[in-house]
Amino acid sequence: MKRKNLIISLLTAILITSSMVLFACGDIGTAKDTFQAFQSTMQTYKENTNLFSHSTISEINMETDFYLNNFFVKNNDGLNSEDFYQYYILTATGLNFIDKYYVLIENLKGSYNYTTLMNDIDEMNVSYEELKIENLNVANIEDTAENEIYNGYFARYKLYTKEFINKVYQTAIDLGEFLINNVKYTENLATDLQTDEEVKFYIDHQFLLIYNDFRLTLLQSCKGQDLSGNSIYNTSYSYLKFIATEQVKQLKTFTPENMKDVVYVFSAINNQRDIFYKAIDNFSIYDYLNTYEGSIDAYVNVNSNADVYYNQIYNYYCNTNSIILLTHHYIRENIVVSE
Amino acid sequence: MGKKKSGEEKVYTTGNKKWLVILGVLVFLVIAVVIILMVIPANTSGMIETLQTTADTSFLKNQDERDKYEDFQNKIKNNSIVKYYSEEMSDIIIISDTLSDVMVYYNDFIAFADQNNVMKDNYKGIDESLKNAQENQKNLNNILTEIARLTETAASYLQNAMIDLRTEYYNWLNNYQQALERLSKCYEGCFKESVTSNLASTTILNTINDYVDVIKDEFKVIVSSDVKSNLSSSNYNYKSHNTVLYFESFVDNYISNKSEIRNYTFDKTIQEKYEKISKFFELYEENNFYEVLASISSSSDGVISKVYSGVNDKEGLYNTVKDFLDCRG
Repeated sequence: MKRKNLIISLLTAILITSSMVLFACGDIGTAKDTFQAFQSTMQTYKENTNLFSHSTISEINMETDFYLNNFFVKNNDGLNSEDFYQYYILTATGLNFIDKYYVLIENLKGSYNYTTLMNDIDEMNVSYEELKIENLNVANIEDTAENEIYNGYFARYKLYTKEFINKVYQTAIDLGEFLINNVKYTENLATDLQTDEEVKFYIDHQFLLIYNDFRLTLLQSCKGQDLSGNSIYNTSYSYLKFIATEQVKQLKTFTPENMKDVVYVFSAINNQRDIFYKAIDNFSIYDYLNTYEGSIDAYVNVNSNADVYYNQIYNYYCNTNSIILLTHHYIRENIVVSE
Repeated sequence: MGKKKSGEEKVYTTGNKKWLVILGVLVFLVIAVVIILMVIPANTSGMIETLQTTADTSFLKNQDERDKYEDFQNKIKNNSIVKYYSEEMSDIIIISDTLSDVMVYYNDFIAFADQNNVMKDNYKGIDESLKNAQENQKNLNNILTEIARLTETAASYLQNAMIDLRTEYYNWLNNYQQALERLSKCYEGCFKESVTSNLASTTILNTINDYVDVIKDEFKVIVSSDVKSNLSSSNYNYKSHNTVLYFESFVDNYISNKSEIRNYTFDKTIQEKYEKISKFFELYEENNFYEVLASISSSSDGVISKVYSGVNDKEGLYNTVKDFLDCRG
């Protein structure tokens, strides 16, 4: 009886463990399916010429297939205000990255877990469908509605664009991490085996991470609002444009020795970014200015580390030799060819 | 107890099994406790709050406190017998303000530190030292309040008050020094190498610890030698003034103005400079560094006459420090 109970217990344990393993592994997807999901998504977006057009973002001379259409408010003077460059740049840079690098998945051999990427694509597409409707709404009334009505619809369009950008960046960053951590696409960097494509990908990925910092600052911490009275908002908005201007320039040529230095510097920036993430996740510039009326003491009463988080965000953008300033200089001096 | 059956194997009885079970449970408990201790993060919130309070309310940062101190300082200056304390009193303001800047620097970062073993080993000690310093500060404030209340200006009273103040200040400094040592360990060990946490910042923070150590030791000498009711200035040999000024300047350059620390990651020549000074500390020890700084500034022709502890190659010492200063500019 004792032996029988022991055997039943063991079999049950094996059954439960196997089920858990199978569940955890789940449907991990295939390279072909994931590639096709990306391809179909990008194709759909490009074909939606109501929402996106192939154009150049003039402030930064950046060409993209994903230039947001109808993205303006109507002012009382009859002119359209199109100064929402953070939206244009973040939409374009996020989708540009996905569009350029999803192709690396097509011929992947080996077993990788594509679940995260597939989920990201699904969520991005759900957000896209919602955005599509809001874009059509503003396009339909653009010429006929009074300013106030139009601007009301635009406010919704802007809100859904913000959510869409968040999903785009979630997808782009997961794609980058997948290629680096799972596929080991950059493992030959700074060695004699490095290729120009690896270098280009690595640097584009670093740009993506920097743009993501701006996304978190402008769209999350500032809630996508125009807070041009605040130094952090103003500086981060300016630097977004400055740094995006660098990405369109030609890259320098990098030997493995050069790349060692480049990787060292960007590793240090990425490590610093962990501190920045914690600060930006825990400090709302919007709430600081509106709820707490610019009083850091009032914010500290609610969040005891508010001043510490504020200092870090300020150090990142606004101090003499702020981190973003030094990063910009480094890119300008060491990464791109000056004009 | 074993029981032998004839022709059969020894059978283990219930007694032996019981000990095995107890041993197994004990081993399991030990493993569980070790795993739990390794996994459970340090609860550093109390320490961070103490550090924040310290950074906001360091000695002489509060205007009321400062006014009372300066009031006492004026009484000392205006008394012809004990005015020899004036320089020390001015230096106490400089030390306090400078240490306040250092605490603000740490306060800006420690909230983001990894909760790893380095943090676990140090956060309680930091909290305790800073809380003790806050107690010392209360005592300092009580002394200043009493001095202001009594409005006494006799030399013997002022001397006694100064000795009491200095003794308590030395305790405050001692607690700060202990906190700073642990804070610098956390800074070095709880952040990955980054733009603001690197060899340069470690070198700077270690140098600050050594300055504080030296200043504290010199105060200790004064505490033991300056005796109440003996107004003769011959017992009083305060010689920290230059060191205090160097300390202030060092913190101003590297902590209050953090631009050089940030440049370190981006600029290769500065990396090399800090690697050099870091090697210097390994060879010559940090306390010789500030002594050479002092001798370079006071010597018109760069000739060193001091003897440095444990150093055989004085010229090498001088040249390395001079090189570092020339690079720094």
